[in-house]
Amino acid sequence: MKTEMLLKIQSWVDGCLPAGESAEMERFVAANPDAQAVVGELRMTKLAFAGNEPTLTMPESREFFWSKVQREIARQEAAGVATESAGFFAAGWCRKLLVPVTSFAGLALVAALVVVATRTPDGSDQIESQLEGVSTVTYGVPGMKVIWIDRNEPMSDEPTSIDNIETK
Amino acid sequence: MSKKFDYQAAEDTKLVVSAKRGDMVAFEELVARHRDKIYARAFSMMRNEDDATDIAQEAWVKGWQRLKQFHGDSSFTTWMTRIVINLCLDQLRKHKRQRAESIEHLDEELGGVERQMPVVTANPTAGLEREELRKRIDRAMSQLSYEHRTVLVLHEFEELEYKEVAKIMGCSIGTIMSRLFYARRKMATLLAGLKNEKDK
Repeated sequence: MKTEMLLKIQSWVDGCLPAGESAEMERFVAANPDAQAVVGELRMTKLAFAGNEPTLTMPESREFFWSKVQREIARQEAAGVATESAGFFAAGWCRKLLVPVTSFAGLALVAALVVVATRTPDGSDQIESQLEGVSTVTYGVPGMKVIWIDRNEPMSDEPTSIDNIETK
Repeated sequence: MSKKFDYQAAEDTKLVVSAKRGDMVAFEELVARHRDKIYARAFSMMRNEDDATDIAQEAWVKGWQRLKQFHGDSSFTTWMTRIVINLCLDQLRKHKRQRAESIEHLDEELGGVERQMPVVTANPTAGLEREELRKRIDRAMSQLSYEHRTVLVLHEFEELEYKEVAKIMGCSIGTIMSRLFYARRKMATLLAGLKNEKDK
């Protein structure tokens, strides 16, 4: 008999098969002497175990065993307090305070280095880029974005030019 | 005037509540009541008196430390039994890692030997006194591999379902069903052998 079938027979003996499969298995076992032998052996071991777990008594007296348990609890508690104190700065501070604070500070620094956002007095958005040698000023007003690029060249008599005008 | 707490007469649930508040005397009473059962479970898995005593002690220490996590979903003894079973499994896994995986061992895992055994048809436990039957079960159990023994302990004595055994042992349900099947086959053969020994 295949292992799969043997395990299915066991599931049936243990009452773990769904109702439909259980009825099918019952018919199979009734018609198969080999399956009946396996069922008999499984039932016999199950029955032998039922309510027959060997009983044991602890070899140590109540007082002696309890004194050992109590001592170990006290020892571990003392060790736990010591570890907690030693690890206060290393673990507690880092995890609870330093990590979120440094993360936040890092993010803020990156944001500040890339773009500085300010607001113009008229209420439109003004963004200044910090690229070296070139100054740009972007104005965002409803429906239009104006980017002003200043190459930091010497002043000429020509009127200031608008290099790029982008409309949305 | 407050009534004095009678530890010996108190139910487990009351002792647990008191122990959770830090009452060591209440916990001591719980240990005294259930230490044999916890020890017996450790012994049934470890098959060694010293290991079982050490693990039982460790289980009670853990029980005290984790008492706040016990919410009474099961009985206190069931909860403590789970702790001791997990400690035994940890220990047995350590032992297993230390010993080399032999071909015989792998064969046993797959039921290679048990597959060849003839089916036991005559009940070898029929007519036995309970005490004698328990002794024979104990002797037969000591001859099983730890995988087979553990699955029997959890399924037959702790009455756990396949999936619960699988979860505790960290295996698939199929593996548990297979181990259980071959463990039972081997038990039947060992019990038959003990009967024949006695009859001679």
